[in-house]
Amino acid sequence: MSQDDGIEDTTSNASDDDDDDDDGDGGDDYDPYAPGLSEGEMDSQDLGDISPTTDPESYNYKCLSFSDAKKSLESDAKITSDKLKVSLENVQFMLHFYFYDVDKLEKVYLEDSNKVLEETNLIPKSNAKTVVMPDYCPICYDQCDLVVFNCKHSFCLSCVSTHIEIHISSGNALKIECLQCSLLLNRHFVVSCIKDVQLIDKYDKFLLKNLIETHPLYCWCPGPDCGCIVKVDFSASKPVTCQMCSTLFCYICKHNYHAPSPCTQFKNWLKKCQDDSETMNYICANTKDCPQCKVSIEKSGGCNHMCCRNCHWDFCWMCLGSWKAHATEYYECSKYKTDPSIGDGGNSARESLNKYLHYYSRWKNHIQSLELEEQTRSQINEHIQGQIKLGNGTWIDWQYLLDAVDLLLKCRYTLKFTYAYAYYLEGPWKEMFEYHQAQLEREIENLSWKIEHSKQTDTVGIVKQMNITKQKRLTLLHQFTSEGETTQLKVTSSES
Amino acid sequence: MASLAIQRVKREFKEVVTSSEAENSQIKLEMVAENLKHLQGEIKGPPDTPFEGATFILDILIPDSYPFNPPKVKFATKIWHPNISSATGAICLDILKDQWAAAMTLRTVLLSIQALLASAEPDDPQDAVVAKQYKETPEIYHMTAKFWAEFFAGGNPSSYSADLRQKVKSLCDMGIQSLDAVRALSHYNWDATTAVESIFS
Repeated sequence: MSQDDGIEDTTSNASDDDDDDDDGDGGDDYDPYAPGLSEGEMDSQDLGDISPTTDPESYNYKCLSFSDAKKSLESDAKITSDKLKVSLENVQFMLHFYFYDVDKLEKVYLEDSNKVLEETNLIPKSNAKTVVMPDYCPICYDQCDLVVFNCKHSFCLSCVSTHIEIHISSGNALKIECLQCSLLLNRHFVVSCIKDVQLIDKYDKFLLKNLIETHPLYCWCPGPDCGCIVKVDFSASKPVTCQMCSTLFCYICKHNYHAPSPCTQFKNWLKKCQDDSETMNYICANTKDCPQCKVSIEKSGGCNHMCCRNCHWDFCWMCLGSWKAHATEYYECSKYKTDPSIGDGGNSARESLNKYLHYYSRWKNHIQSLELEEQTRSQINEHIQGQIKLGNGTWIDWQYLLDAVDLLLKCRYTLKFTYAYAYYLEGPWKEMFEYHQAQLEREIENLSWKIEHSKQTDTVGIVKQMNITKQKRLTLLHQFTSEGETTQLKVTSSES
Repeated sequence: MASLAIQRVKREFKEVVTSSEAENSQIKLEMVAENLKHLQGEIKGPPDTPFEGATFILDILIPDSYPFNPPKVKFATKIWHPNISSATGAICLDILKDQWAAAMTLRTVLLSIQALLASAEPDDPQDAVVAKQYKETPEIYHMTAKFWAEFFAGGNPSSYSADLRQKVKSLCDMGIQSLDAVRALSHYNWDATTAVESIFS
């Protein structure tokens, strides 16, 4: 499914855009930033060929139900499963362990299959001690019938069931181990130990949840109570609209779609904006994001060797580096006792506050405008109904006006996020961006004015303005999300 | 508390009391509350370590889901060791976390902690300051650990303990609490000037 509504038709509108400067609304004859081209030429060159491949917002994704996602994950794993001749379930475990790096897994597995199976705890360790079978359960010490695992450890069924139940109720379905060593218990066995049907259901849900949460190409829709699973072709900070609950979000960070701002910047911006909120203060002060899966983690005690409950990644709380690679060079950590991303404090505080307020007030303004525009939409709807009753045009005749409001909302939405983006920009790139931003803002205001004052079926003026605004928005996104990416990397965020 | 947990703790309690280690008074386990939820462990500092002769008290909390989840253990006695927090007594030991297995017992936990005292893992530190000292200036670490064992845990006095006690006393004379004085001096490799500066800054 393609995200854009009505963006494909920009090719046919390119000719309209050429009279940009002649319609009197624009008013600027000279474009200081167009490299050797007049505005009309620049636009037609930059945007004339926007197709789903070059459109910065085009993104292919599917919304799947729980069972479809399960099937989809299984069919993905099936290919590797056939290739390596390993059961589907084991392949899913191994893929999870290898962070879905299929090539790496296949390569390593073909080199030494036993090593991979041991490493992922699917078979007992070859160097494990031989186990003497006791005649009682080593957990409850009762003398009763014992269940024997592949690792030869044996326990009574009741203790095994409790062990499994405790793991499932704490949300862990993927890493249920033997009660004595780290051998993983497979689904077939786990299910055979649970009598409660609801718990089996819970187990399957958590199993899929655990798999999806670490899979780079799947995610849960962040919409409230929406159980939809989104599958993408490649992981990128692109817009996804859930087909079930219509939530619009960014695939990478699951926040509101925030182009042109990159994810980390936007997250910093949100943190900053909600500075007053106690929760955010608490999160800033007491949590860090898992370097692997970005979930916020609060350290409530214990040592600095952290193991993420979400993705099971081992890392150092001090420097957030991988724990494995870490052992030999840990001294670096003592330097990072305070999070370096927490503000510089001191002299420049007031100055930076002023800068922040400048952008924040505009950001807030656009949020309000966006709300007002939604009111406008319902007013216009009423107006149209009235006109139709009076016999003034048909519903189809008035459709353009609703399209215009929708476009206006979309543009205002983007404009809102340009302030979060601009806050972190510096240097010539910032000037360039603010120029484009100003242009977009002006066209949006023009469109807004025209919509408000359009009580007639005056299509020409509005359609023209719609095209200009649409183009401006795309120019901005195009320049600052795809081409601009390399430049963005150079722009360091000075503050958090 | 779940009946299995009670049953297990009772049995493990017996196991510890009758073990050969308890006979040699290497480990000890006592009840704090009648409900077996809160226990107190005791381990002797292993020989040929700075902790030799000292006795360390451990605070043990048994969760309801025991033995499927590990007991919560921390040092109640102050100790200078790379894998144990010198401030809180928190222990960085894999079997108390994700490597816990239901088949382990309080006896194995106590013995593992005792073994940890004999073989520190400075690459997996709980206390970064101690670990740094352990790696960079092992003789100062040894001296400090021995002093802490003597000062807080009744360990054998060493040849330099009088000297170190004098340093602590000189800080106490400035109105500094003895615990803070020991901490600051240990932190700054027994350099009294830096230690005092750190306390008053």
